Amino acid sequence: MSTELPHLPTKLKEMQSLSLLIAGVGLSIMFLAWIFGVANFYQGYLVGWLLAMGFGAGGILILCIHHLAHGGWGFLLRRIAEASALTLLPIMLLYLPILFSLDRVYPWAIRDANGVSVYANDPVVGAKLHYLNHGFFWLRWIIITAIWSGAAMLFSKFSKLQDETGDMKWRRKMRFIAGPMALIYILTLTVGAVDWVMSLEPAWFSSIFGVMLAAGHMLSMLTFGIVFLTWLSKWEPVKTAFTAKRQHDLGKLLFAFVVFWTYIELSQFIIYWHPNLSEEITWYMNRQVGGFNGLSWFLFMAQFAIPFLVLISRSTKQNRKALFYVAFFLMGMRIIDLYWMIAPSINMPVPEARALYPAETKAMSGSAFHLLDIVGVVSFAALWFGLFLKNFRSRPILPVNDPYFSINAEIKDAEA
Amino acid sequence: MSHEVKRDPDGQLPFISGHSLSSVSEKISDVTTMPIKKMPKFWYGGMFLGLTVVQLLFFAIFVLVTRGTGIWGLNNPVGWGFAIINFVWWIGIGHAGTLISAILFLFQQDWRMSIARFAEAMTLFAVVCAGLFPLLHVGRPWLVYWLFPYPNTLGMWPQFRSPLLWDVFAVSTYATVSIMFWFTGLVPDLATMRAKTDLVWAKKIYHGMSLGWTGAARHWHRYEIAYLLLAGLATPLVLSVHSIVSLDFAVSNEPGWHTTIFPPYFVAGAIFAGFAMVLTFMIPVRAIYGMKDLLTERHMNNMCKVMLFSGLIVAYGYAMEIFFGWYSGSPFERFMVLNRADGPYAPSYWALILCNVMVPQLLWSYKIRTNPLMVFIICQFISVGMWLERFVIVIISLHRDYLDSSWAMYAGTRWDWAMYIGTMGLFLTLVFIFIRTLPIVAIFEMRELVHKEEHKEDSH
Repeated sequence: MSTELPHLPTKLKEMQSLSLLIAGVGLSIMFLAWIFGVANFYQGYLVGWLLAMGFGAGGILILCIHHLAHGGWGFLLRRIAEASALTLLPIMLLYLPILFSLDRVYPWAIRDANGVSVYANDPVVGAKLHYLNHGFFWLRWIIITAIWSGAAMLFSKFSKLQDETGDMKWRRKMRFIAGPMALIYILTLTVGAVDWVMSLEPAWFSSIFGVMLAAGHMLSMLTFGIVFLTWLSKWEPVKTAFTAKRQHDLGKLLFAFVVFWTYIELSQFIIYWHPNLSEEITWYMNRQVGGFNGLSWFLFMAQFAIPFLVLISRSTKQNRKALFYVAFFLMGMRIIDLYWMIAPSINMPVPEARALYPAETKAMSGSAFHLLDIVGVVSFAALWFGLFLKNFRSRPILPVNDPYFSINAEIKDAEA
Repeated sequence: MSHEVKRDPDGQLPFISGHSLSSVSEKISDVTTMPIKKMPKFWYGGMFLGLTVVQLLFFAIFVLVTRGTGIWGLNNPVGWGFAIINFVWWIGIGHAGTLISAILFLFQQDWRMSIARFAEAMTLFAVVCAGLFPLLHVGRPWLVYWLFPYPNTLGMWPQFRSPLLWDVFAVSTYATVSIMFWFTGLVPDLATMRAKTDLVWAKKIYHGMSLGWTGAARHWHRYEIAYLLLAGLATPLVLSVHSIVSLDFAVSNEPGWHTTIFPPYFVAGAIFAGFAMVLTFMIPVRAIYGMKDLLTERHMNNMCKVMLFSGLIVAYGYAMEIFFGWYSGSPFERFMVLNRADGPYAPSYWALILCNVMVPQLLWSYKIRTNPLMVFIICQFISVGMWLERFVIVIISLHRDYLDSSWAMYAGTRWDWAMYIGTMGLFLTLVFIFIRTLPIVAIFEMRELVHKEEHKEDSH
């Protein structure tokens, strides 16, 4: 049977070339759209960028949790998460087109002929222009980019050294940075979440928003990890290492984070729905009309209700194919989730919500859905996957020299 | 005896060592079967203190029922005072038990075995103390059943949109599941106690409570399934109970209450406070009853890590309250942030930051995490800090909100304090009765751990 299998390194290399080719074509189209000033460029580009960024930052989050909790499941995901985190530097740099045209995306960034924000006299948004302004926004992006890519490189470096030397020292170093990094990750992500997503509706705010994005990052990396491991398990060493128990553990973790995401979303919803304050409910009003209403229900059903019912059963979590399909589906749902976050805020279909914003913002959006949305998502997904494979191929697939991991003798045999 | 103890690659000792199956049973059951005259002074002292302080509670309740809630310090803007602060404080303390028993059980964390029983008992006692406050705050506690939606001729029906009603269901579910969970876990040990005790009447009680447990394979099989199912049921409660408590505040439009981070931040705070309370009792008990080999420094280390982690989430919550208070652009929200840090109650806010944010950072150090005295002191800071947190949220938000003309100061009266301190007496009494009557560490789980360790050593 296994003689039919292609050689794994060759296969990975082929996939990498193909992904990068798709990304190249897709991003070229996107850049042309940017240069020609197509209004819909921004929505598709932002959704695609957030998707790729979520995979990268999700890698950091998984690494922090793995090094702090060191459960058996984490060893399988470690290399995947490291390779994914290493994509962060190029992905973060690709935010530059948006940074260069902030006033096409973020209402607070629009300035009048004198270079003063159109919100200068607004009682609500005007009061936060010390924070929401071009210079400070750039600075925050630079700091976050530096921290995230630095952390990714450190984790990767220590892991590599440990693999080569088998020295416990490197393991301790990884644990040592994992604690503070988890804290820094959530703080920086909160800042990023406010900047990149929340400030699309500059009058609106929610203090749980950073956690919401973190839940999404976790889902991104976890679903991808399960999908990719299942695919890799046709070959050694993952074939031996990805045991039924470890698969079950990953299934449980996926279930837990599906519930966690829902918990966070529901918390925000109840707290805003119940008092019904006009400045807070715009977020939901924009998501309750037309196609967005259907999308909201679809998100609830497809990212919570159905996966919850399917994953609650032990037989799904223990069935490799079933878990693969659920994870694959949920990975796709990341796109819907992000589109649901971005598109209604950019388009503001509800007049009452739009009325909160100055007239200049009306020219910002194109149509709620556009072909460029698909191009943006596909090209960023392909770019991230290509970069991921490039990093992933350069290392052994499993951290076999970790003293905790190599206790399992059969895996070592398989690797040999 | 002299065989070498197997350490893991980090050089950590196992969670149990130097014990055999029988020595574990002896050691744990001795605490309950030893003649009462031989109980350590610590137990007598604790019991005496508990029984003395609880008199304060009974007296405060008597005065409250005869004179009404007017004896408390409540006034017009501050309609919720000590009662809700103490309710939230106690209910939070219970969460450590549920987390340890349910979530750590599902995550197969073996270290939970030694501390689960004790923590679960504390959950129950904390819920009892917590439940007293809303019960008494209704003013006429004998009519408290009106809170439940039962068919009646009064033309009354609870408001289902009110989180206060959700609380009724959340807390009563929590109490029910916690009792069932605790009792189920006790059954095999009650059978052991039945065999160990010499007192006839005690034998009869243990006999009745152990439900005819014989230790047959079939019993164990059913027990395992029941325990797993109960753990599954208890898991959502870890999140739901304190989330709903947080909604009591968050769904209002009060600055300082109405913010979306509240549910996860309340849950983390509950775990933070709960672990602090478990450690507060565990540290003296392990020293006095010579249980340092069952409740090891490694357990303490792990518990401190959970405490540090949940404490950091709480600190994140404080940071979000400040940042989004400002970012909201609302003058009322911004004023609330300033009023906390620089208003008339500023000392309580800064004391809170000291207790909950600054002091727990000491737990980053391994040396401190394994030093019982230091951990004990830090836990006292956390317990005080978590009470102050609820004080800051409840009082500082209410005493100055939208209308300047209705601002007022609030202070608890002696009856407020009597009731609060009195519940501590109740808690102490219940804990010391528990130490005397039931095995404080799960005997059969420790035997399982001994077996696992022996088995592990054999395989190498």
